[in-house]
Amino acid sequence: MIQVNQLYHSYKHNKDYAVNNVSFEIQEGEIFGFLGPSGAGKSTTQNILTGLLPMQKGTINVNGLDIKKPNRDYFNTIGVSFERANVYKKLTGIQNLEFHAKMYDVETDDPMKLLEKVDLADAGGKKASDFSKGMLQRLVFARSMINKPKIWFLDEPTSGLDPATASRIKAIITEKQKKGTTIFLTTHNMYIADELCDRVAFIVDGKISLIDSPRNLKIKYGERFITVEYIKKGNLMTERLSIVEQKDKAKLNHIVNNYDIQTMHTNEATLEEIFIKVTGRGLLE
Amino acid sequence: MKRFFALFKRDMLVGSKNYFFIIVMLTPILLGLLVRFVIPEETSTQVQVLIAMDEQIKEERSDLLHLYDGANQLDSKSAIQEAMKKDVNSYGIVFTKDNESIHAEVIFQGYESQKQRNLVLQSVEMMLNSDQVMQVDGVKTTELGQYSKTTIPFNLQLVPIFIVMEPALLGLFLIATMIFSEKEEKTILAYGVSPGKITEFLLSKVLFMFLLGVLGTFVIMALTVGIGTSFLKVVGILVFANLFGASLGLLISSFFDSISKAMIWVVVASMVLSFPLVAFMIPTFAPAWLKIMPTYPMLYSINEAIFPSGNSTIIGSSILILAVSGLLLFILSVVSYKKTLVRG
Repeated sequence: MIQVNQLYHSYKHNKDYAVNNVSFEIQEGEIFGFLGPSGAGKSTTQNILTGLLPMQKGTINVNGLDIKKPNRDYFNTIGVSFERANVYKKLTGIQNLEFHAKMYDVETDDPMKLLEKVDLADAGGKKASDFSKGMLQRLVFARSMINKPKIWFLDEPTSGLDPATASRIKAIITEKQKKGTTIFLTTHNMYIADELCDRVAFIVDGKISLIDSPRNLKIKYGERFITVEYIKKGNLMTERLSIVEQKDKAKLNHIVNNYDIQTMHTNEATLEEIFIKVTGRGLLE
Repeated sequence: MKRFFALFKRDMLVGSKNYFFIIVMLTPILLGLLVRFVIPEETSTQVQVLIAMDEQIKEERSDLLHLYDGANQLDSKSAIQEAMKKDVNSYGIVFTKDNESIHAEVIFQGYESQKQRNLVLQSVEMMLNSDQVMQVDGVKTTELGQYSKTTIPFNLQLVPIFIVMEPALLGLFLIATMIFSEKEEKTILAYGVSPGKITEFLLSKVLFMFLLGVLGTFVIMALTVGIGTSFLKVVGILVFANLFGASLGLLISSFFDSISKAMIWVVVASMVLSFPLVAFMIPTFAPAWLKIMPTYPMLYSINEAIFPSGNSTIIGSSILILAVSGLLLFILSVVSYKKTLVRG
């Protein structure tokens, strides 16, 4: 279990906090989504958790151990998939994984099997400089699994991937979770978060606005909507109406009774809509 | 050790595919060829001739004075010796008369090659024999004694300089390019979340610099003075010379976030460290501030290793100076990088 209490971080070492009084808990085997726009404090929090940034104020407890100064044992148990494809471009895919495997004191996975998992087996002998952006992203993802991590940090793992490959990556994440891996997922993609996360935290301006499961959030903050397309005076019209609010219900009734309905779909509120409602901010700001 | 060797192998693979590596490997070949085929074995410089002669000779052999037109006339042998100490590019001739014979004594500095000495002696003998009025009693030679006798050709005298400036100090430049390459590609972040230590990360790069240095030294020596027992001595000095050069490069690079900013200071450091080269070429110029630079003992110890003069203690003292300064710089680099490398 990971317990983060009253975490603060300032790059300027003053009161201008990039992370401001952040507290949360992640249960073992849970996928915890950290959601927010660019500059919200997601990466800073993750960098503190992975030891890339020093802890200034607050506490982080992993399985009962205080990790103010992470040691080798801690690094042997974590895996980090960076958003940026930070691999050695002059080395081949397999050389990159082989090198990284030797950095660990624990049993590591077979580099070729990992490449097969992310559909890069055929490109393993190619220099990373010849990889496409998506291939590099998958190589970084594969590298993060090399030490069979118990705690797995994923920063935008499906960014820049085509739908089929993204689906493959999501399946790997789910599979790892089933095996008991605790996953900290940083993203601004609410669809990925909705699909994968057991719980999510909304973070804006370094502060967490709320933490809950996507389902609970939808129940608590979401509204049920219906999208209807109809013909009015020869023109195709589209309306998105709440099926909870009286005013919208009346309007829907009026449309159904008076116009030629083309299509009608129910759709619940997305996490993105809830995020905007709760934080007053968009995710792509 | 598994981790260290993996880091070293990675540095070899990545470093050897860097364009900078090709330049570093071509330079020793170029320097070797330069020494071998371009730089002459001897150089001619304006040499000051100092002469002293008895009053009687001046009267009887005034032609000698004309023959040495432009020479600096002094009163005595001791005056010549004093003047020679102040001007290393000079030699003296003392003419004395004993009964009916003229004796000539040529005083050399001590560093002149045999070819240069023969040339001077022949010219003196020819001038003395140009008039047979008086009997000539040969030419005697002595040395001022401030330089050890050496017969090292001029072009080979440059070999220690080239070894110091290229293979020994290449880490100063090259290690900075390797560090900034890792910073720019952010590969250092991936290392930062692994159990690997900064010390291992930096040490593998220093070792890579040492191997490149050995390779460069091998090329230069093979093309010039040859590979013999002296090569092993030079490699022994290179271990610590490289530690010093690479650690200095590491420390400078740790304070900057881009290679362009760091390179300005690397070049400045390199220029300052090259000052002792002047003392090496002009031994009379060796102020104390210049001797405290690690490149000063580095130069003389490599020179001693290649051209032994019996002063082997200089190798030991040089290794000690380079080991202490190199180790200190390396420790400072580790401390600095622990704070800046990952975040930089």
